Amino acid sequence: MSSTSQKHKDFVAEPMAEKKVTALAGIGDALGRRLEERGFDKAYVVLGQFLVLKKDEELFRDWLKDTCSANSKQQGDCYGCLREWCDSFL
Amino acid sequence: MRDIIGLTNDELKATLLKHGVKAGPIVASTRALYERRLAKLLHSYGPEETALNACPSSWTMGTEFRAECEECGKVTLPQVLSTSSVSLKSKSSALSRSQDFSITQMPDLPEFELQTPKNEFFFYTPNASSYKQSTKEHVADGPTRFYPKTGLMPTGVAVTCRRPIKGAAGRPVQYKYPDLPPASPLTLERQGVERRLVPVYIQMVVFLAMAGLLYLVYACMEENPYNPLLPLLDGASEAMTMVMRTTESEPGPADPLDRAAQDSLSG
Repeated sequence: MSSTSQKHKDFVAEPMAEKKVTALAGIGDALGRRLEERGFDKAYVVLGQFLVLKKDEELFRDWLKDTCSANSKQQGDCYGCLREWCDSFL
Repeated sequence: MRDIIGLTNDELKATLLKHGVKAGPIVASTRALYERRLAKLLHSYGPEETALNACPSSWTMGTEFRAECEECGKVTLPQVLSTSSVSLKSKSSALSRSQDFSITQMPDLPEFELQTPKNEFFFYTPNASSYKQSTKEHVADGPTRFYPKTGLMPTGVAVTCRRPIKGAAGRPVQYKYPDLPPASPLTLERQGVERRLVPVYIQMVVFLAMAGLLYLVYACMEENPYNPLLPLLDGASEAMTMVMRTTESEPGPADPLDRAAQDSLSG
């Protein structure tokens, strides 16, 4: 669809290790705070949710919207970021 | 429907499979999503009027994603609620049953497209949606929103008409934006600089002359290790002398240069 952001490139370039959830593309300070309140304090926890949803785009987008009220662009960015990370490292 | 909530995880999974959806693990965090998906499937298949006819009124918004009927306890989605209001209003005007069905069906599909998260219409303006609504009879008050947000699209994106990209899609820059200068300030500066300099061909001549001089200097250096250059120059000078000699005496060999080369090699 569109080119990827610098944040996306930085995230998919290496294993996520202990990166915070705000390191994910599409997840800024506000969304990151909401996710942390729900218990998703690290990027790998969101990855866990992504994998439990079997990497399904629609389900993951729904979940993001429910959990942190992400808009469509943020959902798409986060989904794309995680999917690409999984393609490289999983 | 309350039935969906009452299902166990396994039953939910089986029901989803029956509708062709291969669900992943149904755990605490995923259950709500799968419930919603099943509800969408069920309501897109069956005629929702029969369910709604039983309790035409007293629908209240319960939790964020469910609307509960106070009378009979049926649970449905706000989408269905909007279509129900449409069908009720159309019924009151004594339309035929098939038309009811078509009207309830009509808003369902485009609205569904608008409200799914996988919305591709990023530049979908509210004007277009209101036009769509106005063409239908007895439409509910504005497009229903899954997540009521004022001033934003159903997906939560604030959209504005985008300015056409300069120079894209066959839009030449000078026609689209006549007020702008055809060249950027950088281009103008470059053009000005070019005009003031010495003409190009004079520069080329000077360059070639300098190059030739340098080449001669390099070639005449005595400690030059490259063989081809020495015999060439010596050959040239020898040829000159040979030419002088042959013109004085009898005609020598046909190729004075060759002879000179032989001489230089032997010498």
